Amino acid sequence: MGSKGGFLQRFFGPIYREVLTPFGQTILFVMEPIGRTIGNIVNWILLLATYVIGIGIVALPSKLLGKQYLDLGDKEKETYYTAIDIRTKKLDEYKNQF
Amino acid sequence: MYILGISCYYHDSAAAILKDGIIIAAAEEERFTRKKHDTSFPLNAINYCLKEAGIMGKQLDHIAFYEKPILKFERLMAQHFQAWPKSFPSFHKAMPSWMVEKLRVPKTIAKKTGYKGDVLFIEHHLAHAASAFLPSPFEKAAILTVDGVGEWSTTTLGVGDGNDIHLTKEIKFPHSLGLLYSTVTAFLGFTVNNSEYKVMGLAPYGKPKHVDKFRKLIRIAKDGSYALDMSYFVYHYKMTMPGPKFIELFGKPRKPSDPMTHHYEDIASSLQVITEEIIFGLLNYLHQETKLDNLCMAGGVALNTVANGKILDKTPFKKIWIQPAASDAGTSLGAAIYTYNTILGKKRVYKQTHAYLGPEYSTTEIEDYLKANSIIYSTFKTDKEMMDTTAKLIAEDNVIGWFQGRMEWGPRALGSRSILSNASNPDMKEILNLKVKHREKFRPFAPVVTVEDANDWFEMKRDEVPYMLFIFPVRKEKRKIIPSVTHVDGSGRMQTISKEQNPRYYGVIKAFEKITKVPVLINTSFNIRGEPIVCTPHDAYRCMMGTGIDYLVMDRFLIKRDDNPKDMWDSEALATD
Repeated sequence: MGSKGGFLQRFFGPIYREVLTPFGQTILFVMEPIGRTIGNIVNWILLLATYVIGIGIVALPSKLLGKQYLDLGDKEKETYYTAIDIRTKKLDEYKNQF
Repeated sequence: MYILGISCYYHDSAAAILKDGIIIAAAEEERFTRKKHDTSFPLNAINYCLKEAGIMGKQLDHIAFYEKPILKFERLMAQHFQAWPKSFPSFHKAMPSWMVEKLRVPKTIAKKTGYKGDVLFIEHHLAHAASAFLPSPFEKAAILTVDGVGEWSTTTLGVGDGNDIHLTKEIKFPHSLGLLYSTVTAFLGFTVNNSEYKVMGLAPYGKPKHVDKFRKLIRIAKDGSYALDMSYFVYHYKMTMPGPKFIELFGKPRKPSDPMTHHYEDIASSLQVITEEIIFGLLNYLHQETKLDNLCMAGGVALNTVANGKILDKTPFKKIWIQPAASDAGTSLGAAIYTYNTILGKKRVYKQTHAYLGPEYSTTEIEDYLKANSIIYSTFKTDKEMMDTTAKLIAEDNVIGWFQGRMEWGPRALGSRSILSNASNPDMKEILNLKVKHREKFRPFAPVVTVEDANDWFEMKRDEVPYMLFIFPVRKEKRKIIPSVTHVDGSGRMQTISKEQNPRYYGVIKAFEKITKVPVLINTSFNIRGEPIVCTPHDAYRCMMGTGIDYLVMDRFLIKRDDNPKDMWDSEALATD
């Protein structure tokens, strides 16, 4: 009874059911995809800005300096193994996400 | 002590729970949500595990997660730094899920499970290695893990000794045998992270004419290590996998609707040759370094059953154990068991002897379901009657939905959620495809054989293969007797079953042997193409009624399709990749 719908229903009486509800539903039907599209556009712009500025600020100088972040397999080597030493550590060290 | 292992957000989300070091439940999320290879947080699988343990999330002693998210994020950033500004589409697609969920794992776990403690993060390939070694029968073994990619590793080599695992060598992203296989999967018009096994099934139809071309894009060193020439690939910065140079080398990629030509079959065959060469190279080096006879394997590439079947011939290893859930799902089990045995140093008390770790439904629950839905059924008085009747129906060329006991852990149906049929009928492959599976014609169906008869029917290199992880040749003189499970190259991806592992399943095969003198059935997963294997009685009934399965044997109940309203839904319309 305390809900918004309940108040509107009491205030407008039968008009609420006959006119406002279908009208509201139509608005929702139209607005939902529009809202989603706007959200996607905003999301795209923010991510593009992050990508261009955030990633670019590291990537661009790296490119100029010839820094490689991945080994692209363009050189022949005697071995492609990397030595690692993964063995049991103390419990607390497994609490790290890195 | 209860430890929960979780894997999620990449593919095959899953959960597994240990009670005092023993795995008491494990399941993939896809079985509950009905989304194949579901990547979402495995809340349903976790709830099932907790229910099986009879505890709440807050009563868990530890939760272990199957990777180190920040290390993985670091690799993702490295990809974008390397490929900037070409990688924006993949950045745009991947980043929201990293921000919303993948970098918030402890919060998500606390919120969804009620667990208050610290989450333990186990490196991805270490979790694979643990899933392969710690539940194995070996006290000491060499370990090989190969998959698409974890944090940085795509392949690791190491040793398991008692409670400890020591990984000593790795091959790092972007050099990945798993991703090479996935690239060809995409090139052949199949779905990546889903249909790699189809490429393996396609290989025997072709000839390895393109092996030399593959040698241009992969370098294999004398010690078995390998590196891809990334100028042929774009998966390190794009959402697609083969690059323009790859397409120039192999020709036009196949679209899913295109016919399968010999050219594509030859590519699949060549890939299989290269894959085997790499796997055996890695294993021979691993043996040289460790001098151990026992081998444990996990990672998606360990599901290459054709290569697995040749390991004992092509390498010096004498015994192999492969985690039945070798793909990422198995890392939930690996993370949990690693926590118990290795981090906490508790004695290894669990040896995995079966894969029946999923949900089960009691006779009363199933009967209540049947009654509540007005399903017409009959009841077997005894197990013997059930097994004899089922065998008779199979011998009469009926297709049987078989729903018994606990659901399987891992990607294979092993006699709990299976479709069983007559392997002796040469038309059964077509019948199954027409009635139920709607599969590509080139894909074989797998046999199940009683363990004591296995050697008479297959050229076995092992005593038993309970998890369908090895392909062996069908004996030449038997190929005509079981044509529906003999692949074009004379092989079969077999499962052996003993009475101890699954008495009812074993009993049906024995009863079938009494009628036909053949102790072999077709065992295929109880699902239609594109759907996960059934989990609940409702899933099973729905699958039967939407397909052409003739009978459903669910616990002690027999449901005949013709007795019940048909066409509950159109499975054929929904059959996807």
